[in-house]
Amino acid sequence: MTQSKALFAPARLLTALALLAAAPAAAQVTPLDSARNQFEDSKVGLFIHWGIYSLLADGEWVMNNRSITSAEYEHLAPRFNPTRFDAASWVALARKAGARYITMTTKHHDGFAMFDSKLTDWDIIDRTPFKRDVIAELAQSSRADGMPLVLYYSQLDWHSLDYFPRGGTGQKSGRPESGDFNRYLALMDGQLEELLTRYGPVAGIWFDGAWDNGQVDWHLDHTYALIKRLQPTALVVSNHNDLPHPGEDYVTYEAFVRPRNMPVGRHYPSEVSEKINDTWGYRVHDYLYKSPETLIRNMVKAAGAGANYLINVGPMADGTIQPEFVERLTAMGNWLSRYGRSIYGTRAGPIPARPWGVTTARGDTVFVHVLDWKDPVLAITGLDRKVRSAGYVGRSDHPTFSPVAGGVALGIAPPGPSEPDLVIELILEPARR
Amino acid sequence: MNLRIAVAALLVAGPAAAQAYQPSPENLQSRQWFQDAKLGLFIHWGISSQLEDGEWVMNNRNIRVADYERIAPLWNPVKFDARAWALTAKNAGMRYITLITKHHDGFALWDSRVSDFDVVDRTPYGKDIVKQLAEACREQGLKLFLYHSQLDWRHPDYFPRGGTGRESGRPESGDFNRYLDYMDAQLTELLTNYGPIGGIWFDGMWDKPDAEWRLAKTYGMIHKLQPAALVGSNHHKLPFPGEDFQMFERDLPGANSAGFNTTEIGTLPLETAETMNDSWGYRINDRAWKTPRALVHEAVEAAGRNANFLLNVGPMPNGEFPAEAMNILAELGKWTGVFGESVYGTRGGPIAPRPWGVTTQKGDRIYLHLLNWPDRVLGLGPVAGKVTKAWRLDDKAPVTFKAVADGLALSLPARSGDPVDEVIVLELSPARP
Repeated sequence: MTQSKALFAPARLLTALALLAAAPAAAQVTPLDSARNQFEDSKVGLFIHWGIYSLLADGEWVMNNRSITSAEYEHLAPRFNPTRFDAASWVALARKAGARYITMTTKHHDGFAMFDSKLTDWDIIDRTPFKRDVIAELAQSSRADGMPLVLYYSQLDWHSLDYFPRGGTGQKSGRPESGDFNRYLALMDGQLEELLTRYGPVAGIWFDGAWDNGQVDWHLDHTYALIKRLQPTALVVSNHNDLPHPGEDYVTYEAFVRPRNMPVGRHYPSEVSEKINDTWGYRVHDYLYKSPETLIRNMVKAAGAGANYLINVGPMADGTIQPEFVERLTAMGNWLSRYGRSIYGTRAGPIPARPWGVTTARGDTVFVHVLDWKDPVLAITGLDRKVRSAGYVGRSDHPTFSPVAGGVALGIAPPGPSEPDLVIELILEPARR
Repeated sequence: MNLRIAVAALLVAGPAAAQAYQPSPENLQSRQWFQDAKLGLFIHWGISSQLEDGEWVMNNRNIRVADYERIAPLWNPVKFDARAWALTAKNAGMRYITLITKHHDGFALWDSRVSDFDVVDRTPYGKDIVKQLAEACREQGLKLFLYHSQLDWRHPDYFPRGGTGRESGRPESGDFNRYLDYMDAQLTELLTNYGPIGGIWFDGMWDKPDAEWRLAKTYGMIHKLQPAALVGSNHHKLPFPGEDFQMFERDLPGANSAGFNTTEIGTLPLETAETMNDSWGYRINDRAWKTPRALVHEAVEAAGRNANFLLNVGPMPNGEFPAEAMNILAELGKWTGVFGESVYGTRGGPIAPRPWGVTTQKGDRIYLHLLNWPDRVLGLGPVAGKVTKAWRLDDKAPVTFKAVADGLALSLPARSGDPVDEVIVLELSPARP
């Protein structure tokens, strides 16, 4: 996502790009445009929530949820010694899952830096016996693999004394009722500068937590400009579920809870983040695992909405990833190795989500993802051109297609109960230019 | 207990006797009528309504019997108008009413001779509710079903206690058979003094699932007193011998979102009972009203699964239906006025529920209910029989159809807006004799 590889950009997208820039020289694609474009092409990412909270095995919000004070919480750091952590194996797992980028928590709401920060000793080098810079190792392994790395950074901080006035959370942390918010912002900018200067090319910064306090000035323009100054193609995104602030490059939203306002008029790449079970950070008693089929189908639905699918794991305190996650990620990767061309590099298809499923598209090809249909005839509507040929992805037989008034009737062999998605590939007549 | 009765009860309740239940011709005829009727109005009302906190208020607030009895003299539903209730039900398209005669609190809405805990003996209102509604239903051509709770939180002989009603302040002793005698006596009153009764709708057996409820005796008595009356019980299991229909509380047949329903569907006529908001009995602050659209959809979904839809209203303490309920019933009436033929007299159609909706069938006509289908083309599987004509029910607009692959592709006429239900009629060539 950082180095612009010349990827095929569909006509639709070029049009969108042309529309978004008001300047006459709109057709010129900047390196940032290119990064955004490649981000959209990548379609699948692996989210990693990891921090000292994983010791308590009760999710990444445990400090707040159990009203643990900062002083108490600090006892965790000397116990954090994830000797089985192996960045290369995480990257390999991401690759195996079909992920084309990794988004890693560098600092969550507990304020603990998983990297060697010179601006605070509340970090993995100064406070833990492990004394290894997890971000550095992950950045190195990602680079070696060609896997773009997006860095999650929490604006909200339950540990910093200067995170004051307090917002809606972290009230029971036992901090004095005073602090200098601007000094906190300086720490944040300083840590971002560390992340953007010491770890090689960073694909993006994924913010979270500004929602904690709507009353303060987060000086977003300043921070976003800093990021772009340090790494012009690092994408900026914030998990605030609101319209994008200027300087943000894509929109992200949790699960399928769409933000109340989606941006209109300008095209934004988008991303859906989802948990494999019901927690982001490791929780030992979270058994609400989604089935591999559900995850695959949700990934397909995201692609049908034009969105990337950022699937999360919360590694355990020893640095390993629980087998239930590995099994599901492997299933996703197996599916993608067979059907991936209907996902990677696509955009939302011409037919919006329907009771039977979704569509994705690339160039003159429309992929019809049949997620819920039992009958041998599927009639679809909304293609702006005639169908030239029809085939299945991952199968050697062919569906039939015949025009009917108002659409096209496909004669299909409906998916079996174990098939999460029946993928039909329709090649359309070329668009008239 | 009298030994002769005990032996007789054992004999009647034995498996051999159970399998011997042979519904009378009148009963079988009633079942046909019941399945044709499709829509019924459930009415939850009693002195519990006075507290405006649902019909479980006595149990939920641990109100003791002695205290609960103080409510009866406070209840004076001067606005109760049986004829208005029956007319409202009829105008909504209901073909029967199922009225609470006694809920778990044990209060009788008729003038019982075996108890003075009834509307005539204990309330200033002093009039027999069941009698008035029975007459009003007869006038309007509606059948009247009587809900009767087997569970009783007040009767001292309801002992040993079950899972509920334990804080009612009753002595820890009692003769359960004497309670069952009392119940049978009350049922006898209901089945002899109020003209023909559509059926008895039991509830509460789940409170003591392992008790000897003498079902064979009670059911036999009902079938003897009124052979045409249907027996059903809300025990959330497959029907027991002697029952004539199977009911599902707040779920479509086969579903179990409620958490206590069986997903097994037996061979008897089916009925889904549903609330308009979240409560059966009136609750002053239950604002979770479902939309008329959602309730029409569920009624149609039920019909497509070959089930009746019993929609509940909890009248206010004064005897009036809440305004929200009146609105829902009025909207339902508008729908049945136009689309009634696609549900009344039908059975579940030849195509099982699909993502787009459900089907019903009557004779040579298949009704496709498009509950969730925005497109103007629709593919179907093979239809048994030859489709000779197709049109949209409400405006008679023709629908074209074409044999494709192994099924049928329909091209639907344009529509404006998003109707509650778009009904397409497929007419088949009459079956050869």
